[in-house]
Amino acid sequence: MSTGGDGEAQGVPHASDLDLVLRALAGEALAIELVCRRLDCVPAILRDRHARYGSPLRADELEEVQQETLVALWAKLGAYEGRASLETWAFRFTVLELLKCFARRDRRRNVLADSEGELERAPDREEPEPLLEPERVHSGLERLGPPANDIIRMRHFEERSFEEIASAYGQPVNTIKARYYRGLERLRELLQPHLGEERP
Amino acid sequence: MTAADDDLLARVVAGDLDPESQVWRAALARDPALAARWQELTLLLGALDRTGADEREALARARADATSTDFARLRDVVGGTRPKRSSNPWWRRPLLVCLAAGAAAVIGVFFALNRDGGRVPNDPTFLGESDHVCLEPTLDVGDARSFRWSGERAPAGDFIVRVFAVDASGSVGEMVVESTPCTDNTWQPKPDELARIPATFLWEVEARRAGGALLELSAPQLARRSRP
Repeated sequence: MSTGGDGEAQGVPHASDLDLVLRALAGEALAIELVCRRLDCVPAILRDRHARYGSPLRADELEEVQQETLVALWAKLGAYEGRASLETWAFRFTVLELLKCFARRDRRRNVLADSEGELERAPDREEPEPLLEPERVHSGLERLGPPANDIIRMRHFEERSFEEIASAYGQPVNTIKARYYRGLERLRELLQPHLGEERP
Repeated sequence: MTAADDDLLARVVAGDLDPESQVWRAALARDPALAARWQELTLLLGALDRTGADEREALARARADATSTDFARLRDVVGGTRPKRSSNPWWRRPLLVCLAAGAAAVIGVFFALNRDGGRVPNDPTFLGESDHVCLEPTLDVGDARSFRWSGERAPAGDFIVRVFAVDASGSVGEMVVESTPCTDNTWQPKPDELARIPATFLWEVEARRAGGALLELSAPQLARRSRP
């Protein structure tokens, strides 16, 4: 089993989590148990984010999303690469699943409204919620891609120093700083239309 | 914007040049394009900091709000599905699957519990923020009298150690002991706490900020007391 320190030197910032996941995927009972214990916060993440969006789903709908998310999360566990901690990876996955659910719901409403005809469209029909600042930032980071997005996340989300990030990637500090700056510049371009908007 | 200004901007963003410095202020006054870009980057850095804080706080809340029902639900999902790893038809033979899974589980648990003559695994656990590293517990003669880990304590923060029982089948049970907040990187259980720690157990250490907010949680460490 690799160590956290060694893993960092090899460029996997969360090597011990990756090792745990690989053992779980290989069917090791104890590792599966540990992964479950680490990820049992996923339903609570959904409840928290759902409340943050103004609780638009009914209780049974939220229940369904929780079940679907857990199934999808476990099915996608093989995609975990150790670039963030297991919980952080699950958090981002969960938020994405919730946003997809909102999008599906909006599409269903649109289809329904279109089938009823424009004239019959309900006057109080809800428009899709605009993305909140964190989701815009996450979306921009996804478009940015690795390793720049990971470096920016480690710097701002995990509050790591450039020295720590350089150690994690086994690269010189100046290389990391240069990638960070270029990544920020690209992200600035991607998010430019939304920069300076009033905070939600 | 000139290449020299771009270099200055890169140095300010990376923290190598003080944004209050005279050279930087002069550059901003000289080049409106540079000033505009700096303003946008400042907004972006603020948004990144807020998004990071939002994520950390939401995760901490979720960890605190997770219930045993949530764990049971995930366990049910895991019991009913397995991530795709192979399309080999061998896996589709139920009898072989059962035999192989049973054997793998028994062997895996046996080796996990007996590695290094019953001592704990020696892989440090990466704690994430601030490069915390949780090292193996120092159960040098097989007791659980002293737990140690590495990693810097947050200013005015502390650490909490939790111990969970592990049964013979390798399943993790309930938490048996939770330490009082530690300001050092060690914890010595009191006699009554020691008495509650079973022969095989998992332990984890949580680094907390001032006020008790979760900073980072280690991956659980498997340990075995050879002399309970």
